[in-house]
Amino acid sequence: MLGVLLLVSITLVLLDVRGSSAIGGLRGLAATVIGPVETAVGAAAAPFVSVAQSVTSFGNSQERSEVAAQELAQATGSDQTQTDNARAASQLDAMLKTAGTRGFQVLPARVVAYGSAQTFSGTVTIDAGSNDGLTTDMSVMNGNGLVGKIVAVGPTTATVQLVTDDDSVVGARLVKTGDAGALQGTGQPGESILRLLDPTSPVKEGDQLVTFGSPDGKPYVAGLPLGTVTGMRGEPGQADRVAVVAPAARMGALDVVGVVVTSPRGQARTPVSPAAPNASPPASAGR
Amino acid sequence: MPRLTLPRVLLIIASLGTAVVLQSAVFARLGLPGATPDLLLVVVLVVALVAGPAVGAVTGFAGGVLIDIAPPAAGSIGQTAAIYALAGFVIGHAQFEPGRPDLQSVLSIGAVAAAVVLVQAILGTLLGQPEVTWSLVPLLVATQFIYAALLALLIIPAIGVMYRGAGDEGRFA
Repeated sequence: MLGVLLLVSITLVLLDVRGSSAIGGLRGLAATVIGPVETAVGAAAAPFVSVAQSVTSFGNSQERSEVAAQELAQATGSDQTQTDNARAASQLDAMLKTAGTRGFQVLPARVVAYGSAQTFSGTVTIDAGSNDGLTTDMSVMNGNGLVGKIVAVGPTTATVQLVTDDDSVVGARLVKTGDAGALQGTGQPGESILRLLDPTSPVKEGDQLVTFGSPDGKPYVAGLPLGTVTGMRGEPGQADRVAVVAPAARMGALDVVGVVVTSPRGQARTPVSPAAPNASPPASAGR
Repeated sequence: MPRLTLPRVLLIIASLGTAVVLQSAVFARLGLPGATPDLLLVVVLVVALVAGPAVGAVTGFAGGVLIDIAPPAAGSIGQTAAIYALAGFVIGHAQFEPGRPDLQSVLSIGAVAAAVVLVQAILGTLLGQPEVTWSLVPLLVATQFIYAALLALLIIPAIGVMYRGAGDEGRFA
């Protein structure tokens, strides 16, 4: 009995590795059936989850003030569902502001399910899918910056691969110097690895990263906050020198996110005819 | 061992489905330190304790496939199924009185769940997928032992009682 089951398991692994369409169909069926149930249960559990997250997270000052605001709301008699709605509304505001500044058209969604920590992968389910016009390789963001990209869509749900997933690689650019590199996830929520194209370029703690951007903004749109350098590993000047980066979006407590449906980079550009350099004083801000 | 009847099969299927949804939509989002409480595995292990190694192995296989295809899983299919089937088979050999969470069964469920985390990390390292951060593994193993043992205290009576009830033709069929 056990032997047969193990053989079937190995067959499944092999079929999956070969990209069998049967496995894809199985996943699609699961997304269609289980996705809506996860959405319903996730929404019902949201108030309790947000309380637990505020207890288990040791966040930054902004989060502490959010927790303080929640406690204040509780003390003044409003129930947990209301404070959860208020927090979601403020996250939505922040997300729309970040998207609006960059001219992105976004579809708001909520995170309803997470993968288990012991699987070492970082994927979450959001409550919007192909019925809402979502496709794979769309960027997902929140008010703080890039969250990840869509890797699978069901009718009413989509799976997002987080920036911190061990399979995730995002093109990155240092804000200060413009140096390009690749941000690689490690499977750990607060710690990604940045490899610069030029390992000798100066990087130090506190440097900010934004997304480099892909053609048509897929899978990643350009110019979104990506993270902050928190330390360095390896010898200066050596090829194995990497920077450790804390992602801008806190992956442990995701709620309201936005899927970037169209970005300015995806639209046709208009040629410009700049004035001759000595005709007018330079007005550009430069990088 | 109690006979496997249709109501019992339906009970096992319903328990697996509920566990998969609760695990990803609630437990994994709580942000608890270390591992995510593996409700699905605890359900598999309790079923195996009540119904024996054969049913335990099949239940573990089904649960493993389910968690690997249910969103948001995007990794490989089959690894979890093989490990859970093995876990169900192993613990199914223990002698057990359904519905009574004695110290021995609670601790053995915690131990097997912790071992499963370790085996998953080893298998992940050997296959290179997923990339395992070994500095986290001791914490994951230790916390999974505690979470699984605590969950077992609740799941053993729940499934034990329902399983015995579902076999009683007069009440369910």
